[in-house]
Amino acid sequence: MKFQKSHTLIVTHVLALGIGLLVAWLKRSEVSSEQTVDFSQRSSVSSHAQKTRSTVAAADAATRPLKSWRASEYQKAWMAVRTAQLSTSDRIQAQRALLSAWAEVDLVAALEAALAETWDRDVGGSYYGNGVLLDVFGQNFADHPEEAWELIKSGQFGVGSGMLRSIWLENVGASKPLLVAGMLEEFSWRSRSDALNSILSGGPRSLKERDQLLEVLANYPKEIVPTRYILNALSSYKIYNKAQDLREATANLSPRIAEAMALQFGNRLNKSENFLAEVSQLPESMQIAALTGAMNYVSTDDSAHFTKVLDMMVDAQAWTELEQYDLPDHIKQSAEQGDPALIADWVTKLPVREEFTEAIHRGVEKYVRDNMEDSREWLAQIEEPVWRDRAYAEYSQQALHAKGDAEASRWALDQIQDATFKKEAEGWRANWEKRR
Amino acid sequence: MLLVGYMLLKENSTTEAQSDELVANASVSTSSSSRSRTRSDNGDGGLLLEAFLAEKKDAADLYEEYKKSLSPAADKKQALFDAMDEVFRIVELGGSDHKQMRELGAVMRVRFYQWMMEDPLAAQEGIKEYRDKLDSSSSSVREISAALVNGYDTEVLSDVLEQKGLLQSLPWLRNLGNPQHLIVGALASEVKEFGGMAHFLRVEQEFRSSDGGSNELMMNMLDETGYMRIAEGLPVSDAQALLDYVSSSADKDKNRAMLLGFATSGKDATAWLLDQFAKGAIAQEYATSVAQGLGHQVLSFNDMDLDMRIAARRYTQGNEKKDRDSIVGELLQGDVNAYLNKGRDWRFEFRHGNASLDEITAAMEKSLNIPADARDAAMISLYRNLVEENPAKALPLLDTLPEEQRRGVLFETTWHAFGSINPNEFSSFLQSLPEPVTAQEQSDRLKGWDWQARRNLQRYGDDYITWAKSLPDGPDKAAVLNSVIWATREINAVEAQRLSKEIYAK
Repeated sequence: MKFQKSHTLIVTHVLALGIGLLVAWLKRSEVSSEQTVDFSQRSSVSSHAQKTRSTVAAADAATRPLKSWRASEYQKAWMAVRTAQLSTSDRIQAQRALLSAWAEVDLVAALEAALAETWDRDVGGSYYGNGVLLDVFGQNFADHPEEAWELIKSGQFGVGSGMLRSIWLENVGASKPLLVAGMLEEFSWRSRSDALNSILSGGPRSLKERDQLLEVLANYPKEIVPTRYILNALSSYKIYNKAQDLREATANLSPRIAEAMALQFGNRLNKSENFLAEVSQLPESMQIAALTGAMNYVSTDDSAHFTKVLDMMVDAQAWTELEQYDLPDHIKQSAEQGDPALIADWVTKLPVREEFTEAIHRGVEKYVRDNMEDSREWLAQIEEPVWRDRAYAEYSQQALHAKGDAEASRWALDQIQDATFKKEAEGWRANWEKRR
Repeated sequence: MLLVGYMLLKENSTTEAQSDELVANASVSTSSSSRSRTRSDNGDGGLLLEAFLAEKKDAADLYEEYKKSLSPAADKKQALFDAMDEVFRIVELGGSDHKQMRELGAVMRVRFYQWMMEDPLAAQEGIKEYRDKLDSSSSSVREISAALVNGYDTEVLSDVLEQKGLLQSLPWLRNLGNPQHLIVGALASEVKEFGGMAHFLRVEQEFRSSDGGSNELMMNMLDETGYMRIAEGLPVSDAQALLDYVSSSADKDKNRAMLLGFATSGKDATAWLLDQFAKGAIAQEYATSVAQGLGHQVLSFNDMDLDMRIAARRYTQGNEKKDRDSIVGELLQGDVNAYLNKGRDWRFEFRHGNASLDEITAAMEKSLNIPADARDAAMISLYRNLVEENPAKALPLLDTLPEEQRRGVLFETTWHAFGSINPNEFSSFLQSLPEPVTAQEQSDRLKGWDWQARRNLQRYGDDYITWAKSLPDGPDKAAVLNSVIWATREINAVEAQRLSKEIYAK
């Protein structure tokens, strides 16, 4: 039996990792029964019957099947736990079993009884979740979601309502995802990600339910349902490799679904040779999404392909997406691991926009550092004066910090045309001099 | 106070049950030496509880129940396929009837078990065959069958493994996607139940020869946690054999893991290893980290020689030069916690007035090895456990402390205890504290709110803020509201600003 137990623990561990969610769902009763007490071993509550007058009524109830028990009988059994002298873990399991059955006949009384116990685990450990009792109500909440929700939001359970809400979201989100998906605006921002995670992590779904769920989620604005959840909801859908197929498949879908599918398309296909040609066949709104998807996955080592993807973003004037992408960091990576000359050339041809300033420095630094002599001619040929001044300033920085060459730095600073910016760049050099 | 009021309300609403409890309590006080209770002690409730628990036991585990009641079919393949068909039919329909799903799922798993017991390789092949015939749109169905064939359904497979034994199971284990947990579990269990070090060596040898000498299976399947679990089951009598084994192995991570795993098996194993460390018998390259591990391990052994525990604690980082009193305090704190976590349900009984402070203290002192100079530390630790259940009744535990120290402990309890406790109960505890006098006391008294802020917001969400706003005006309310703003700012600056405006707009 010990062997069995240790493996059952592994079962729950592995399942918790999400590998076998479906099995978990199938095994819900088995997993929870792992915690079931071997009640036959409880000497404390098993004894010879004493047929006293006061126990006749209870004896009658005790011989009836549990499904005919009244709330008052559960209440009495609950109170009897206090003096039954069970071990901590057996007591907790007995309480859980009672609460679960009691909730079927009197949910409010069962919730109040559970909340009147301690809210920690009573057995040490650092992770407390929602204590050791409350999650038994999950099944009841899943079976009667609307009634339970009304109770929870009524406020009658005070600060403990927060724990009940999270149990409700976890269980109802998984078993009735459409119901919960329809209520997202009713939840505070604090609970919404719990709700979405629960909705999307539930057990097997029919195809119809899967489609409906996606549609409901995609009808919300991004503030309520961020795109990553739409992508998650799409994860079991067919994958399209051709722009033409993707266009047809998304023709009648809501814009957010089309956008998310285009993101997926870019995530997956960014490496393919004709990716850019394929993207150009998508409607404009989907092009930016596909390119954003590509940017998130494209290898910066291949500077040529990387900058082609970026070119299309620039052509599409996708400034917001580029800003969110952390361009300077990726540009730096591409210069260091790919082709520094190509990157230096590419950044200095970007349109003059404030959000690209940092990217100019990170794109130029590697090339000028490695080519202090040869790059001088290249610098002079930069067409855009704002970026040319920036490139000279970066040259000066590299000359100072990487080479310790004050003379080369001076040469570069003297090439800067814009007087205001030159003053700023001189300031950078002054800092270097101070630290020497 | 809030808690007490709430509890009184509850008690008043259940007068019948309460009278049962009073009767029961009366019987406790006259027969505290006896652990067995009769139904009449508990009155009607006891009888009902007994009936309830008996019926619950009968309905425990469907898989186990069907394993006994479902006779194996002559055609095990057909029986499993029929069961899978049934499950999948319900899944495709939406699978909303949980009871039916559980029953069908249990039948399917038992059919799988029965076939695995008869011919595991054929059963694995059969599941693949079933899966390959499925329509590609049936993704959920494919996942369920994949779970069976890849070994994620570890309960059934560990059942089969237990019956057949690890060495006989290698052929079918190799077919699983990830048999690591199964192999570790089986090996740990077999080493512990009957085989010891000799069995471990036999299995390792078998793995090696079945891999053509490379032992890839063992190396790929066992990580440090696995080796720890296996070594934990070794009997103390195998200590020298283990040391010989690790001395001849070049894998220092494995060696260290096995020695530390062995140490977790009990105080004798740990004491033996400490002795070996002192003698320099553990290889230099990992001796220090083993000693550190042993230093952590001694926290678990109250019945070990105190001087040996203290010396071992000094092997751990940061404790090298710690004074004896501090180490003793730390050890006793762990001992008291561990004591309360096993045996009688002291915290629960104390909360409901069914165990007195004297009773708990006497039982603990009888059971734990508490040196005279560690008694205060033990009582402070007990206080910090029991104060969460009943602040007023726990208070006498601090009576023997000098007044200054007693006040210090009281105010520091706001963050040394009350994690994950009902905020009403925490608030009630704060009201029970004496008026803070020094600046330190004033600051300590409010520190708990900051300490609890992140966890409480995560656990209670907006209800915590609503609750905080409902507190009477005063330093506690100001402190808790301030804490929810900074804790919100850590995760959502915009919402924190909104909250701040809302709270401070007058």
